[in-house]
Amino acid sequence: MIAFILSQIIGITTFLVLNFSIFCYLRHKKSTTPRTKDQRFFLKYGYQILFIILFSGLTYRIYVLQSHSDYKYNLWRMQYQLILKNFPQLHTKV
Amino acid sequence: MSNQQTNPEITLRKERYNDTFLLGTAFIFAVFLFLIVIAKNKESVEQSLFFALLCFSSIAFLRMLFHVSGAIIFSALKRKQKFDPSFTPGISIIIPAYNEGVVIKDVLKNFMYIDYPTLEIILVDDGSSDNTFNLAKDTAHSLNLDIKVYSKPNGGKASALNYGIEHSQYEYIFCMDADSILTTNSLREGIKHFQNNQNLAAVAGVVKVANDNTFLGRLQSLDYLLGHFQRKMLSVFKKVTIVPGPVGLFKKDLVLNIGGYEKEDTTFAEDTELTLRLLANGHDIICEDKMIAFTEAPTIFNNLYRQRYRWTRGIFQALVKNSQLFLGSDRPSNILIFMYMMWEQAIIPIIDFALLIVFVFYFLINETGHTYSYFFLYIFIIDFIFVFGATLKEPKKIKYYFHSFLSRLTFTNILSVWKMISLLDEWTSKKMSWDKLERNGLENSIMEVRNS
Repeated sequence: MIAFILSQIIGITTFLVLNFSIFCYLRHKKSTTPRTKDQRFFLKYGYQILFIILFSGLTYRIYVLQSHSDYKYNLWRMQYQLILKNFPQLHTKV
Repeated sequence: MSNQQTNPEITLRKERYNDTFLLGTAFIFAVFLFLIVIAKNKESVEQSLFFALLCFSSIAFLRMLFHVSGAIIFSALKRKQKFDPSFTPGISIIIPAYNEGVVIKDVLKNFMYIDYPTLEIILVDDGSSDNTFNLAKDTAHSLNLDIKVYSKPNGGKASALNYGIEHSQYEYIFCMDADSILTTNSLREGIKHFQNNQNLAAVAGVVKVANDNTFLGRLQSLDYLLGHFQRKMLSVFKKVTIVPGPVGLFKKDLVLNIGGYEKEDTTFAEDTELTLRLLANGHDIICEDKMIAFTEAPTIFNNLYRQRYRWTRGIFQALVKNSQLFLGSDRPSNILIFMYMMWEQAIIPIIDFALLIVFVFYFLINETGHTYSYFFLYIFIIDFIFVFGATLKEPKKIKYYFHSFLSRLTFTNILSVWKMISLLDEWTSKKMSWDKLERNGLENSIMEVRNS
């Protein structure tokens, strides 16, 4: 489980770093390029595109994790199973 | 009838805009296409990505082996070398300065500690708009140092260095930056190599980060050490391809024979440009571990981006500009140097970037995360061997080992994206200009360097 969590941290960090480096590029270009009518497409919509890539990437990752058949790697299902399993005992104790 | 004439500049801009728009749209379609392919054939895509990761990481491994074996041979050869310590010809130190008022006082103060008998210090103020010239004069006067301070109209770093070379009197010149400080015995360690080799044109030193008290500073410090480690392999063949701007010792007549630093200011890496021309003319260039300069590294990401952007594009410009000198030459070594430079400056950044992209895609589609974690571990071990070799004689080794992990996770990936962007801008001939980085001062750093 620790290896799984570590691998997720490494993957997410790399993905965020990739987005951050593109963000730095866009920020620098925006501050140095004069704003004209024919402003470049990516400069104009750069942040929006970056956000879409970031958001859709992470959403897709969650979808992949959830669709995994082995519940060992399915975080939500695992939590759900644990609660279901322990709920009667908890209920009795209360 | 309309008599309108189209402005060619506007037409060109529109064409560029349309090109970029098409490129952007094509990119988005490509991403969607890729996602559809993933959805349809997830397993085969995963296998292809696995194969790509294997290829790229194998290249990284072979590259590491090549550099590490070079460094081992370098150390073995160095142990055998013997020098006469009485060889101390005169050296002219040339410092080009443009708006360096914040650091110039500390840099000049550092010359009180330099241990060398025959020295001439020349500071060339390249038309600064701040008080660099007056500060330098006052500091030299108050410290009772024999520093020649010149002022000339602004013409770029290369022109300031050429101006300094013209006004120097000694046979050897030491070119440095106005934000760098030398260690006490740097000059003695560098000059000794010239006594045995008449064809030696330059000795490249080690650049270290003076302000490595921040996270970003420490990551850059590690990056600089790794850069020098790779130079050792080239030093075995006496063909070091970059003599760093802050610490380079040159034989003046050989530099003047090839016309000094470039006069047209067509590249943004004047140090690499000069080094490449020296190599193309068949001269030797080596590196020396103990010739050290501490320099101020950028402390914020925006400045770091600007610096790396200039370096990447500058080196590539210098390489393209001198390509005919290398490829048109009948020396086989010239063609090898050119191929090596193209490999390191153009192919390796593409491979690094591709590795990052493949890794991210693999992360997105791999269910358990086990496979890409093994790859990460594999790449990290390669990095660690590099770091282990590069920091073998450093006082704070453990700190660097820890940072090598963080660097692979963050800094190295950021640099690979920035390098790729810079290369794309260079290939599409985007305009660029000299960026002056803000200085914070070196007063504290000098104290730390002296104490260490």
